Amino acid sequence: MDIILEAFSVFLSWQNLLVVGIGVAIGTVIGAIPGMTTPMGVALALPFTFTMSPVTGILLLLGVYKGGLYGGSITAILIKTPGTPAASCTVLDGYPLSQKGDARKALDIALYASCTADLISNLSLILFAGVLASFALRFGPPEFFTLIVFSLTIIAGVSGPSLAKGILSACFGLMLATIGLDLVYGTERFIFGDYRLMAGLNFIPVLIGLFALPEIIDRAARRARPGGLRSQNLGIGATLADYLKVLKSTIRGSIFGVILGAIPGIGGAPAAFLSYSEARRNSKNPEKFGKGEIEGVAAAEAGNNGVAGATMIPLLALGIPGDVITAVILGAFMIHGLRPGPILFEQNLPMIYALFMGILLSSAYLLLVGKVAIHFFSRVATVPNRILYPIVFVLCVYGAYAVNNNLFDVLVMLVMGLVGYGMLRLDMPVAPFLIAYVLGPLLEDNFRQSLLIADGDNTIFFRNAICITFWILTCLSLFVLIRSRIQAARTGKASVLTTGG
Amino acid sequence: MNSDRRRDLAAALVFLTIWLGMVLYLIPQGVAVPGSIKVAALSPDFWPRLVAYGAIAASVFLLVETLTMQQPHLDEEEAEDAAQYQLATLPATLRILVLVAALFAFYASLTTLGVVAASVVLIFAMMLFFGERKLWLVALLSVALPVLLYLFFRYVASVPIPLGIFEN
Repeated sequence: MDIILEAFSVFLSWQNLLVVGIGVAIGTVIGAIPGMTTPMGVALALPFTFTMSPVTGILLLLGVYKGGLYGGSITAILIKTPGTPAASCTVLDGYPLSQKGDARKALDIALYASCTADLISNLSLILFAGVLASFALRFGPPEFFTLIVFSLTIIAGVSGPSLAKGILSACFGLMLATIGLDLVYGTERFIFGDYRLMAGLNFIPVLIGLFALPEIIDRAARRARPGGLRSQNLGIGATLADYLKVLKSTIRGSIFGVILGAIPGIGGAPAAFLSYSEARRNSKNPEKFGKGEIEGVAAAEAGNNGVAGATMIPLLALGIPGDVITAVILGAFMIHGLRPGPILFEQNLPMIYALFMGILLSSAYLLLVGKVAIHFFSRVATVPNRILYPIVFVLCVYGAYAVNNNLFDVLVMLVMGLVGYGMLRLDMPVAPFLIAYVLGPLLEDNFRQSLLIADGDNTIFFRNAICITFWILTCLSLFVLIRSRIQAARTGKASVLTTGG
Repeated sequence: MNSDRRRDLAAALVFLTIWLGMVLYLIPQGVAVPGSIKVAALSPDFWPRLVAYGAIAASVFLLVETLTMQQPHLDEEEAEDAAQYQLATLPATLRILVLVAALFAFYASLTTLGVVAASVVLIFAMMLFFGERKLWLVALLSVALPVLLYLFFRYVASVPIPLGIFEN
């Protein structure tokens, strides 16, 4: 009880109450803008959190995350241009509804389904994160090593159509993370006499470079897209009866979202497509799906938003980010000298509870922001990229510089932007690169600590059931990924699992 | 052989070369190894080597994958959409080169011009380059945004933004 009271005292400040709402609003705008992605938005918001308290800063990023997941649906429904990859499933029924003059109904259902799924996902986070963290207290270096290997395998496998490209991307990230002084001996690695590399490359310029710059560089090679929002009749909104009609699909989709979200690497898009196909399979009128069925919109949005709270479960309980956004949030923890994981639950429980309170509040803000501002945000979303991208670039420059007050970080960001652009052209996923870069030092540290404990004996990585389980899971996921790749080669269509990251 | 397959084949060969170069040259040259190490796996170069061997295996796997398996393709609609907005190859490449050169020139000018003035010039040029024609809007945004960001970082976040020759 004392802990909850203490958590309230940490959480209840006007800054916290305000930033959650601001975060959701920013996220909704960013999610709605085609060409801006939620990870980009969270990365750009990160430098503005440096001077905030840890709880306030992290709540701002979480607000952007949740708003971004929902925002993608607005333009998906109104102009058939999904703001995020996950929202491409919402297009299937949302846009036909819009064409029939029922845009307002589709937007309302998308909002209600998103908020319901978000709430269910948040409650699962609160229920399961603590349990998982107390279990993870039994983890030593070998268990953490095998867990990270398992997580990276899935992230590399599901982030793009080719497992080999995913693994290569992760290897580049792991190698980049070795730049700096050696963890054990303090000797130099890949510094080549440049003192600026001694502390390694900072995570934020790497992140901004990889996620924001490639889109901007790619824009130079494209024609301007015509269009934008036409003035159209949005029709009437959804009723309680409409909401109750889609509630079953919403809850089912939320559960899919929670399960897939808790597994590192899967993300919102596969959850949305799985939820949609299940809703169609269980519907009395499956033929209406794809032609403007509100249940399709609800199922897609529930699957998409159901992942938001659940992706925080492995991050908070184990310190393992499951996707790029949670990797950025991990970066925000590290900036404030904190490391999520079982130890944080032991030592700083009031802070965790304060975060839970803010996360629950974000569901309410999502409803408010979505309800009040659908018209406004859908207009902001039509700001052309020719104006938007130069602005984004300058935000990137200020953000990268502000990390260490160092112009070298701007150069790192530019170089990583070129790397990211190369990866974009080669169809290589960047998520494994970044997550491997963040987890690299932790992975190597646990690897070497394990061998130090065992005096070089490799069998320590199989020392108990936990390690063996993670190895089995790694092999199993490799088997499933390779099999789905072979099937994809036969049918010529990418597996639904490989659309995330 | 379609263009995606040719691209992946070239990429696999380039990656293989890079990672072999890593094992044979960059790791021995770039990683300082202390004289006496009891357990080989604790040596500072063991982990980079392990990662590089993994990457070599993945490059070989990519090579095999490209040669033996069909590429999963984009939806027809997506492919059409992508093709519609792609400029012809040469102008597109030139425009990318111009943009990248401008971005690095921007970085080089940061120490003399400072972040704010360099950003004003860059936003102005970049918006025109990307095709915006409303000059008043371009001028307004390119001045207002860097100044507002400067004020935020300088006075709210207490981050000193370098102003170069405009420092005083």
